[in-house]
Amino acid sequence: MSQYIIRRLVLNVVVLWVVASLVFVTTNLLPGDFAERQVATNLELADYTEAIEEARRLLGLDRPLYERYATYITSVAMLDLGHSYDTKRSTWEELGRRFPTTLELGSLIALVAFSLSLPIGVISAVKQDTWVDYVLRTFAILGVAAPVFFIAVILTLVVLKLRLFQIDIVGSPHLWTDPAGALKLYLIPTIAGGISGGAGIMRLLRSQMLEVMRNDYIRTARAKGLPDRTVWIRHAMKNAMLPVLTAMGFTIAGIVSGQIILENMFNIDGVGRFLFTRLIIRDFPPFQGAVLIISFVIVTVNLIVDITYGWLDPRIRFS
Amino acid sequence: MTEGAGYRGSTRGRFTRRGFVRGAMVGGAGLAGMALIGCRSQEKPAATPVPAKGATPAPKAAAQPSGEPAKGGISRGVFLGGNVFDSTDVHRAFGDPTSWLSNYVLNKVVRYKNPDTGEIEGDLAESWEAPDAATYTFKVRKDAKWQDTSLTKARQVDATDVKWHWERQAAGKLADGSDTPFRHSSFYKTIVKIDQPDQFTIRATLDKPNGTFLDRLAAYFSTVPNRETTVKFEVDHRTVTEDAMPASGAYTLKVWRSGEPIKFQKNANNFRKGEPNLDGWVYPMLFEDPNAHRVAFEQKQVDAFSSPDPSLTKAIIEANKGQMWEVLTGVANTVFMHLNMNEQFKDVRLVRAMNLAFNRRAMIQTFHQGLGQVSGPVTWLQEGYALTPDELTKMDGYRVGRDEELKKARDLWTAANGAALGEIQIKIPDTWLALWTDTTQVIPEMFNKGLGVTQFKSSRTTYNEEIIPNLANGKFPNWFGWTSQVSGPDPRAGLHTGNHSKGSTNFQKINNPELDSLLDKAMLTVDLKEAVDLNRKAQRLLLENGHYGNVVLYNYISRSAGWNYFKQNWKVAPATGTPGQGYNIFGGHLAPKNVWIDQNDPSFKGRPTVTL
Repeated sequence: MSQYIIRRLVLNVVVLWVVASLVFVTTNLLPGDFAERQVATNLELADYTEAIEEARRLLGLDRPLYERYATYITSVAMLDLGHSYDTKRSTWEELGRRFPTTLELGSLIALVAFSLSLPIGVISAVKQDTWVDYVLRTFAILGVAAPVFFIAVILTLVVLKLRLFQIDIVGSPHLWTDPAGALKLYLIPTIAGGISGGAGIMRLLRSQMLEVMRNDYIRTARAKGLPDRTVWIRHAMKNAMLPVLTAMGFTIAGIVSGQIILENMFNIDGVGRFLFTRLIIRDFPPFQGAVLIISFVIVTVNLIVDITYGWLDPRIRFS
Repeated sequence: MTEGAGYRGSTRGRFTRRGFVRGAMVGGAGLAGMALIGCRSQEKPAATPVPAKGATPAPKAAAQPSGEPAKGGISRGVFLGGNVFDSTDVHRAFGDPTSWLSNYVLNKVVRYKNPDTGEIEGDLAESWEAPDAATYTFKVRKDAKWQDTSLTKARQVDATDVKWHWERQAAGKLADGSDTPFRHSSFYKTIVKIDQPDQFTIRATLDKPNGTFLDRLAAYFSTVPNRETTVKFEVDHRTVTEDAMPASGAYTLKVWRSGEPIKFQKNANNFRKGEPNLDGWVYPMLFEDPNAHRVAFEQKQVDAFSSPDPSLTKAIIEANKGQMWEVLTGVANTVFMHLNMNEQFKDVRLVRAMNLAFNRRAMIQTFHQGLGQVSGPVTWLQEGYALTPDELTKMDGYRVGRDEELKKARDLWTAANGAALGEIQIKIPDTWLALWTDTTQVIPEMFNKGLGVTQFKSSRTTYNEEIIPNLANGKFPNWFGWTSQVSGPDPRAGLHTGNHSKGSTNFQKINNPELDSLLDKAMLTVDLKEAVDLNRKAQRLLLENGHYGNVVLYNYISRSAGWNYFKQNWKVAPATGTPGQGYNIFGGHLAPKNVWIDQNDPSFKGRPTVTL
């Protein structure tokens, strides 16, 4: 087991190095840079060119790509993710300021997603081919089919039309400072994100449950006279959860990466919105740093999920 | 500080540069406009209870009669687009955001009394004399003071500030003697002698007569910063901080930090007594997504709205009928077609044919839902100088009837053997394509159909990579898109540099002695009427020659909406069922006087409170 974990950790380091290199190269291949964004475009050519050159010099963008890559990768190895060209703050500080917001929203979304998907997936399987199953499956298919922004827009229009409550777009309230305001702001993105994130888990859990419930050991459990609920929850659901766990792992990883679309739609100053704005203005150091952190979380969550497999199913050996 | 009403200061589309601009505007993409949309408010009378939370109740009694500017309150605006401040130093800022911000904090030597026609009035200068267009003497007002800081100590603004403002930009040097780029140094280098007879008088002697000198001093990028502070922040000029720009104007900067809401506070020492109407403004985080902007607007968290999709703005107005106004404003970034006369389009007849074949009105429909107006060599936004619409619609390329235009176009194309040009690429900048993705199909189809050929093609390009680097060497591609030329109401300087044989931006290498003479004479006069007459003659000459390849097409119109309680900086106020009209050119300096809130308007009910 420990050998397996060490091997995976080494592999994760390699993955992160590849991700860091790819992000560095691809962002630098994008047209335009922060110096251009600062100076903007001007016809007074001599001054404009000079101003761009000076801005690039100050930002270090005048150095060759390989030199900048060497500096970048060395800094990353020392956990220095650089500073924002725009705000001059470190990437860690920028992300640290926004992570609590993203955690708030992401946790609520995960809560809704899991609260909806787990019971619905189980009930839908248990009540297979009844009207309950049809209703729940239709709901799940709609959740999978409708993009998250579509659900969010529809819900927003309902709130606006019926004047249900104020969504504090400008104030960006937090749960710990203004719980009521924050809940109103997060309600629509939470429902939209929860439905969208949970729908896939619902369908996956249902199909896994149906497969497991046809196995001999379930028949045996029933033959022993175990109550239905015990059979479903202890015998069927636990075994059906293996692939579902992977999907849930990605949902949790999504909390860290931020809900880019939802955060932008509702002007929530979290990691997702930060990533988007950094990319737009070509403020690459924090963008690259944030992507790297997200990658780290994803590979780590994956590792944890894989280890959890062994706990859920002792037949799995890490060799 | 609490407020009760809303305010909007939309300058969308009024910010332009001299020259080619990446039109990253609208829709959050950038430049042809920064849309500043805010909310402002007014103090409630002492007896008015502060609302418990969230929303402002409709006041029971009028603080002031409806229609009268109310004092106090905090406005809240939105700064759209991914713009960044490149410098706190207004002299060294090449991007427009710093210029925008400085207009709320600083003054210029003179300013536009009417931003559309170009009439000038004093700002820091209380009077001036210009006997021969080469000598300008200004009397600086004595009641203007700098914001009280450890560096300024609330001293008077005087002629020394203006002298330093000119000299520093002309020299292009920092206090330590090092060279650095200054955006407008070439202009200030034309001041060859500066005299300061006394503390409040300053005289500029130019290298040659320049009738547009005052216009340039009134432009939005000509604000006069505090010299002690600017010098102190020379090294750190790229780190934004409110300390770097002490005020002399309507507002002081309370917070100016990267990534944080910008906050302005009323300058109690403003020399214009009674202005501004507001206690402050707050510009919160950027709305990168139109949905967020819309939700904020519909819930009165901001008081005005403008979408890149005008039909969305219209739909919101319709959904709130009777509670919102509609205002139409010309967008300063002019839509051009540039045809390279150094290479493919050497024969002027070909350029004339293209000018005729371009269906301006159809394109306004296709791209802008009909919200636009055809522009001549001087755009209709610069209404004091532009050819009248009646005259323009009789000229080639501007007639309403297309048959005559296309017949002439085909005749010219055939006579000049246009077929010999082979494939003709009309490139479209990526910033334009981001908003109108089908342009690469629409434009070649229009020309192929109009001229009865199949040789037109279109593909993507970028301003920074292909167009701008190739302007000076004359190898730029033919392209269609934004090319802003409107940065003020007086078009003379732009027309001169772009079309005079010795003009610094004459990339088409135009050499027409008659045109040169008209442009020169127009530049020399300080007589506005004479300047307009000469300018119009020059425009007619340009039109006869197909604009010499820089084919001006049209300026489109931005539709904005606002809640009725919010009174804007309008040129023509909206009425029930009739859209109002915004200032075509930069008129932000008039906002402190013109913008206010009618707290008694029924639409004011439910507006959330704003704090500074």
